[in-house]
This record gives sequence, C-alpha cells and structure tokens, in this order.
Amino acid sequence: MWLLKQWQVLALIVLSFASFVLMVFPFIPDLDSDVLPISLTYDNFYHPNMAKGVHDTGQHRVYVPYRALGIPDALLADPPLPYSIPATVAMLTRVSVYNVYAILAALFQVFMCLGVYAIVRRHFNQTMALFAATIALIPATASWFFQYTIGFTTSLEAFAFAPLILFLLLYLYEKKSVLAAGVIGAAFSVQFMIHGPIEVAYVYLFVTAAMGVLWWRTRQSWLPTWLVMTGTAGVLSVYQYVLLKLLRLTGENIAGTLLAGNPIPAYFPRPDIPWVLLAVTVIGGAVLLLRLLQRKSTPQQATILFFIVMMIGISLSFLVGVDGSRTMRQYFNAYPFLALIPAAGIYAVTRMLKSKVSDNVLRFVDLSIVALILYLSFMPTFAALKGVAAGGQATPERWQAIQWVRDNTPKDARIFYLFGFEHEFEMLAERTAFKGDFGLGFTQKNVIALCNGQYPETYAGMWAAAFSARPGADGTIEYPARAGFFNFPFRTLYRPGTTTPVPNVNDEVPLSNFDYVVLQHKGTQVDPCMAFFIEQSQNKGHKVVWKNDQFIVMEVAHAPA
Amino acid sequence: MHLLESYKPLGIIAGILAIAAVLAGIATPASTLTWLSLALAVFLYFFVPGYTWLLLLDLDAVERCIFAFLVGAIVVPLLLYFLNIIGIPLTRITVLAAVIAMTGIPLFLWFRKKQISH
Repeated sequence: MWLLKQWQVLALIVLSFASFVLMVFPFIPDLDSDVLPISLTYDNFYHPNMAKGVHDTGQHRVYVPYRALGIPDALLADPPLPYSIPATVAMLTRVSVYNVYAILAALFQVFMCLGVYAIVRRHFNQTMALFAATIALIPATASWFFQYTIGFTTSLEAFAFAPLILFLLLYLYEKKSVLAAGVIGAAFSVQFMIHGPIEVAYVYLFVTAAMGVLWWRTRQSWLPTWLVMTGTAGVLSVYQYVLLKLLRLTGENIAGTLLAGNPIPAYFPRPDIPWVLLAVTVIGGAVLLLRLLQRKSTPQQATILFFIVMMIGISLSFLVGVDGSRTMRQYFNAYPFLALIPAAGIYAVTRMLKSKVSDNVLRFVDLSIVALILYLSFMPTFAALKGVAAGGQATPERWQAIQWVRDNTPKDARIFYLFGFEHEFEMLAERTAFKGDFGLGFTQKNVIALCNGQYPETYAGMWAAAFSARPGADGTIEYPARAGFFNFPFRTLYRPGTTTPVPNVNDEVPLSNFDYVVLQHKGTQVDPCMAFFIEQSQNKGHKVVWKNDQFIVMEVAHAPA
Repeated sequence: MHLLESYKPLGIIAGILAIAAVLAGIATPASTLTWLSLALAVFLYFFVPGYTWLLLLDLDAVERCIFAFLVGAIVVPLLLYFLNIIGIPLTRITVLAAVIAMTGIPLFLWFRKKQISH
C-alpha cells in the first residue's frame, strides 16, 4: 500500500539513477581509473585539468605553473568555481579529480531536471511533473546531452541553478522570505563564478522583470526583496568582478562576441525530436497556450511558461544575428524546461480517460507511459553515448605517453610535443609544454622540414598555456601577476628557463630549450618524417627513454655547462 | 517539528546513495569502497548543508531533498572561495570545516527560530 502511494517518488528515484548511469557509465567504465573520461575537445581537457590543478595545489588564486610557462604567480582570472567544486569534492574521496569532474557535471544535469520536476509538481501537478522528468532525464536522443559531452559543462552547471532560482521566485509569490531572496542572490553569484555573465544575465533579468510585473499588478512592494537578492549577488561577486575589471585585458568583450552574428557551428547537433514526442509537444503547447490566453493559468504557471518562451527566444536569437554558438547552447540547457510541453500533452491525452476508467487504471496507464519512455529511450541513447566515448582522444597509447611524462619526469621539465597531440591534449601530462603539432595549420613548418629531409635548428610552435595575457611593448606578451589582494601588475613573459621574451606570435625555439620531446611515430600520415627525426636526434645524442606502439618520449641531451 | 524528524528524508537519501554505491560496486570493475567514498563525499558536501539551509524554508520533503544538492553547491563552494582568496589553503580539513560551518549556521538559525516561535 505504501509502495502504491509513493510510486511516483519511487519512479523518480529510478529515473534519476537511470539518467546518472546513462551519462556516467559510457564514459567511466572503471571509477578506480584516472584516465580522462570524456576527451572529445579542448574544453573536455581544459576544465578537468584546471580542477586537478586546484586539487593538487590547494588553491585557485594562481594558475599551476605548468599551465603558465612555469610562472608561479600568474593570476587565475577564470571563473574559479567549476574547478574548485570538483577539486574540493575529490579531496573527500578516493576517486580521481577527472572522474569527479564528469560525475558532478552529470549530477548537475540530473538535479536540474529534478528541479524542474519540483517546480511543475508544485505549480501544475505531480503526474505532469513526472512525465516532464522522464522525458528530461532519459532523452530520446543523445544530442540533448551535447553540453555535457562536448565540454560546455560550465554553461550546464551555471544554468543548473535556474530551476532553484525560479522555484524560490515562485515561493516568494506566496511568502515573503529574506532567506529565499538571499539564496536566489547567492545562486546568481555562483552562476557568475561558474560561467561568467552569460546565464546569470538573462535569468537575473527575468527574475527582476517578474518582480516588476508583480509590483505593477498587485501594488505590493517588491523592492526590499529585490534589494536583498541583488545585494547578496553583488556582495558575493564583487571581488571576482573587480578582479576582472582591474585586469582590463584586451580582446573581444562579451557584448562584442555576442553581437558578432556567428552562425551555429557545424558540430552542434540540430534539433532531433521523434515524431511521437513532436505530436504530444504540439498538443501540450496548444493546451498550455489556451490556458494562458483564457487566463486560466495561475501567476506561477504563467511565470514558468514565460520563462520557457524566453529560453526558446534566446535559443533562436541567432536568427536575428546573435552569436549562434553561445545562444544555441541555451537550447540544450532549456531542455528540462521544454520537456514540460510534451508532458502537458501526454497529461491532456491520458486525462481524456479519466471519466471512463478508475483511478487505479489511470495510475497504471501513467506508470506504463513512464516505463515505455524509459524502455524506448534508454538503450538507444546509451548506445549513442558509448559511440561518443569511443571517439575520444584518450586512446590507450596516447594516455600511456601522457601518464609516463606525468609520472616519470621532473615537475619543472619542459616538454616539446612535436606531433600526435592535437587540441592541447598534452596539458594532461602536467608539464610546461610547447606544441609544434600539425593540427593547427600554422605550426606545420617543423613537419614539412622533416619530410623534406631537413633537421630544423629551431622548432616552430606555440606555448601551451592557459593564463590571461595582453600584448606588451615591442611585440612581447604581458601577464597579470598576483602580487596582493587587489594588486595584479602586468609582467613580461619570458621563454621558460631563459631571459628571452616570448613573442606575441608563434615562437621558434631551439631543441636545447627542452628536456624531452614527445611524438607519435606510428599510425600517422607522416611516419617516415617522424622516423627521420628520431634517427637524426639519436645521432645527436638524444635518447629514447620510453616508447609504445605509437608514441615515443626522447630525452634531450644538453651540452655540459 | 522535532529536529531529528526533519532530518528523516536526509537519512533516506543517505540510504539510497549507499545502496546505489553498493550496486555500482557490484556492477562495475571499481571497488564498492570507491563508490561509497564518492557517495559519502557527495552526501556530506552537497546534501547535508543544503538540506539544513532548506529547513528554514517552508518546503515539503521531496522539494527539500531535490534542492538540497543545488543549495549545497552554493554555500560550501562560496565559503571555500572566500577562504582561499584570503590565503587559507584548500585541503580535506578546510573542506570538512566549511561543510560543518555551512551546516552549523542554519542549524543555529533553526534553533533560534524555534525559540522565538515558542
């Protein structure tokens, strides 16, 4: 009897775990492993690696030296929380930071869906909420997990607070609460410190507009609530905001980027909705719209629907020239909210049975629909995500090379990655790195020379680094150092271990400036050129210190001082 | 409502996480201990402080359990952020201290609220 009464909560627990399994298990087959679980793009490497840096150094004030050309005081100007949250959670476990990073991103996605469930449950009804949660937690296609798989996890995590903010806003419609307003403000601050101003900007404007409309309609003062919310957000964010303002870095600001009118990148998945889901979405959309137009919606329901309309508007704003790569992400973020529309459709259809069947039969129908969605969606989405995982760059051979460098070379060693590590994968070896790879186009010089039978005196490439910088005098680069609480002087950047300034273009560095060279010698289109490099290097006294079927690490012989 | 009674749903979350960790330990190559350590970390870091803050709002148990994770993801990281900015290193001890502080503050407020209402 108790089970029957609580069947919806039990179903929700099962769905939540299924969603977690769906996102985590294809990428982390073994939790004890320390291999980077998702390795499709630069973002997949960068964020978890930054988290590992915070974990290993116990601070998020400056970059770890290996990500800043060996500099110990390069100010960390990134939003710090996406790194410090997994880093500090990992301190409480025996799980690697890389795995914790992916698992937390999955948990944020799950709890975003559950947050929407809580909103719909309170302001529509529990059954509709369960339908929405089922559609959101177990999507019919893997493309809805795009933010998670492609590495836009900071956008996902920042938006994950939107259901909480909306829930508390609706709570404030009924009860005045300083704490609820304060938590909304703190959530805005966390959004800002996770992904900068993007998600916080439109959610904050929406909440402010909602309060403004309520003041206009009810003549109740919302000013104190708004002040508590905004004041909390301001106080908690002010240090990070001032830090960014003090830097005055050159380059595009966010407004400039947003209005650049970039199209949606080709690798973004286009909307892919099965026809059954589309049909119930149309029905649900019509039902919700009719209720809204007939003024049958409560103010809370109207607010939720306007939020969804705003999210659709933002997602489509690329049509009027706003940067598609940033705005279409919000479409994936909004998915748990969008799931309310088909859920309303399913609910409307099933409630047509209400006068014809008993409550128990209706309950059985509801449960069957949830089970059917789970059955139809889980396996195809799981298989698709397994395929995504298989396409990652952390192949066993490449990861072995990275691990060898990480575990067997001095912490301050300088490594030259000649070939085989695109997208700055080499950051995972945690050493100061220079990359002369083929992948970026402008660093092909080394490989072309080697293929022409020339052993270059200097090697073209770029320093693999992550810190903030601006152009300095005479074509140099300057970085902000952390010299005090509000003291970030700009200093000239020097080539590691030398007094030669790094030029504000790609560098050309002699091999003697490095301690090791890492390269892929098999399985490429330039295997003979790499073989030539290895042979010539050995003739000059450099030694192969480690190799596997595809990768080689050479120790550079330094002339005696 | 008695404090222990209010924490019952949190106990259920702990139980669910523990069962899930044991099942994951059986179903995957990783040890059950590894999964349990992860479940415990998530429970302590997110759910305990988040749930305790939400005791101060008039929510039902399901809402409190759902939003505890997100509120935990606000209060503990923000405290750690400011501690680190003033120079305190992020260590296991600091993290546990932040969790205790962010659970203790709302508990104190909860007791004060009860005292006032009596």
